[in-house]
Amino acid sequence: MSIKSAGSSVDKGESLKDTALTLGAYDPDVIVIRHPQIGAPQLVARYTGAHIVNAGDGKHQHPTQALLDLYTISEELGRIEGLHVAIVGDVLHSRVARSNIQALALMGARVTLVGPPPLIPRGIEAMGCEVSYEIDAIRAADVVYVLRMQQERMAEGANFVPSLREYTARWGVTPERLRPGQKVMHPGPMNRGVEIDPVVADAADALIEQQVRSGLVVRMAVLYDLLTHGPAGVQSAALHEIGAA
Amino acid sequence: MLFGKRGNDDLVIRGARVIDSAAGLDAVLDVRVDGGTVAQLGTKLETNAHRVVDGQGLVLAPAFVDPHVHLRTPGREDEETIASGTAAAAAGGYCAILAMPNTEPAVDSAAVLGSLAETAQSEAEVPVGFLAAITRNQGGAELTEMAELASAGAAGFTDDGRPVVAPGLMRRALQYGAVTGRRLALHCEEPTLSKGGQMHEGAVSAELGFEGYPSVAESVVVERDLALAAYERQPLHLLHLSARESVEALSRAQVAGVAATGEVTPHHLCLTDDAVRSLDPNVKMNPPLRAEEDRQALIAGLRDGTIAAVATDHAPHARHEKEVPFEAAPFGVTGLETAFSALYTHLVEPGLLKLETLLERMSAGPARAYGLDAPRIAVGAPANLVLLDLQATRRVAESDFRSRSANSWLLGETVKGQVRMTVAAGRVAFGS
Ligand SMILES: [Zn+2]
Ligand SMILES: [Zn+2]
Repeated sequence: MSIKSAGSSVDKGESLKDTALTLGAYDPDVIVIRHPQIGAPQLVARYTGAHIVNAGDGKHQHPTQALLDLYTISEELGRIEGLHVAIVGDVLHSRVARSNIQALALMGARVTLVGPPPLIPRGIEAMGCEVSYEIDAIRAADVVYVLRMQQERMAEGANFVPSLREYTARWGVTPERLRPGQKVMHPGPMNRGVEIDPVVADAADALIEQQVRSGLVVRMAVLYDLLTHGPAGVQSAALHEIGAA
Repeated sequence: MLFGKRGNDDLVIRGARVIDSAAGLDAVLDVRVDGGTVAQLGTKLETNAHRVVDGQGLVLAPAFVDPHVHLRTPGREDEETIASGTAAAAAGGYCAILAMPNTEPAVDSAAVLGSLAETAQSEAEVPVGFLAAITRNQGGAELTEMAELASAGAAGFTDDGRPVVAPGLMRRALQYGAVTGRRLALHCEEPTLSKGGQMHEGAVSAELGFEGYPSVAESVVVERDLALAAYERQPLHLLHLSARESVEALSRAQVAGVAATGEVTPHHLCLTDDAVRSLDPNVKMNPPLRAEEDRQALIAGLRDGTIAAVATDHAPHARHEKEVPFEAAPFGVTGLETAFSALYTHLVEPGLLKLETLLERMSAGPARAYGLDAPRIAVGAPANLVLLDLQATRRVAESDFRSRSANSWLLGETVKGQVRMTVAAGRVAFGS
């Protein structure tokens, strides 16, 4: 059963608590929730007995995306530990970045964040990553993970970046800024010509289609796990988010 | 300036440890209250047929003064009323509180102030002083009729809930201090720096993905207002300080001779931004919980007197407004009924603050900051007394609150140090 906010009781001002109680009345085994507000999955978990899968809460976390990204990297490169991953772009607004930083650090990868200062949250090094404001820093990485520039957030006047044109000129991932053999990833949907050059997006070293295929497999695995033996034994903080019942 | 029930109770409190550091008093004594006034201190006092309260093993101190309470009346009586808020204050050991004017409508005219004072006179369990708005409807544009409001009994002026954004207006408000004789109390926040901010900007906000409300959003306005106060030679009071930079600025201004006072809340003294990892809307407040270095600076400031007062910033919110994701929740937590226990448990027990200092900063400190008579335990003084059981522990539970709201950050926590009795303005307002 799928519930979208548009046209549903959510749209009519029903509180998330009431939505959770209503859904709980159907006795579901699993509720998958994507919500624009941080902490929404935790709130729903408080009012239902179902397993809750966080499919993205605001700018906080996107755990299944991180799992599918890790799965993609390990399928392509045979390992995660010891790899160097550069995450480029709007880290500030990105739940994908936060889940990936956490998951990659947990698995022993080195992570470098690259982007303009207003888009790199102050203090984020405490998560176990490095920060660079220079796009050249991506050359040292095994994997370059490009984040989506959400155009609606980047409206002129918000002043995160003076303009998308300047962003692209300074931080766009172009063929010239990569070296041969570097793998490129993107969570989609891409803004070709903004954060990623179309040549890079279509190159053989881009893993973007593999990410989509991994998404299906990994999300099936998450549901299978929850519907069979549950999340027991999952120890890591990154994975724990998924099974918070 | 204070409105509420008063009494002329007769009472003997026997054998408590009586602490009033301003009077240099710390001894096991009997205290007799005749007709609401402290009549005698000594040992083995005659009871004069008064009711006798056994104070053995307990501490008797001047009752507390809370300079920062949101009573939500008029407009949001579902969250708090004068009766419920002052009952909560009595249970917390307070003999007087000051109420903030960010109500619906705001307290920006003598008419609104007069009707509140009248209600308080008959309903308030402990006397209440009302602060009036600095600007009309707290809109930050035009000054209220400050002289008239002062004559009507305003205890001070504040736009709390919001900052006074324009420096020119701030300066005019300060100039009026010379006419009103009341101080301005300032909520220091630079709105373009705090915009969208959900919590302190730092490692925790970076990890959780919340928009940050940086320390500098507070301290830059603290610096500005202290500079204006120095220039106008007027006193001011800084509300709910949260950042170490603000404490440093206040200290520098005091050394330079500015008549500035400051207050700090129990939650800023006990918690840090780390608590926000729980995503519990009851740790969401403005200003936000900050880093451990800020907490330590606030404790040090309270200890050395730079910060004169503990203030709860008691901010009741309806249950349904807080039962939402953190991002959607309003700012503010309750505090009247837990302040002493929280601070005794988190600061005094671990040795971070002396009991005597805490008692002073919860009573005489805030009273002096607003030019009120400090509660004292001395012959001839009105009886404003709190009887404390430092050994008792309790688990903070919603069902025990007298406040109409229960958005407390302490729910479920076990705390030590209980208020047994409060005497406010000569009347037993809480306990037996
Ligand atoms: Zn305030
Ligand atoms: Zn306040």
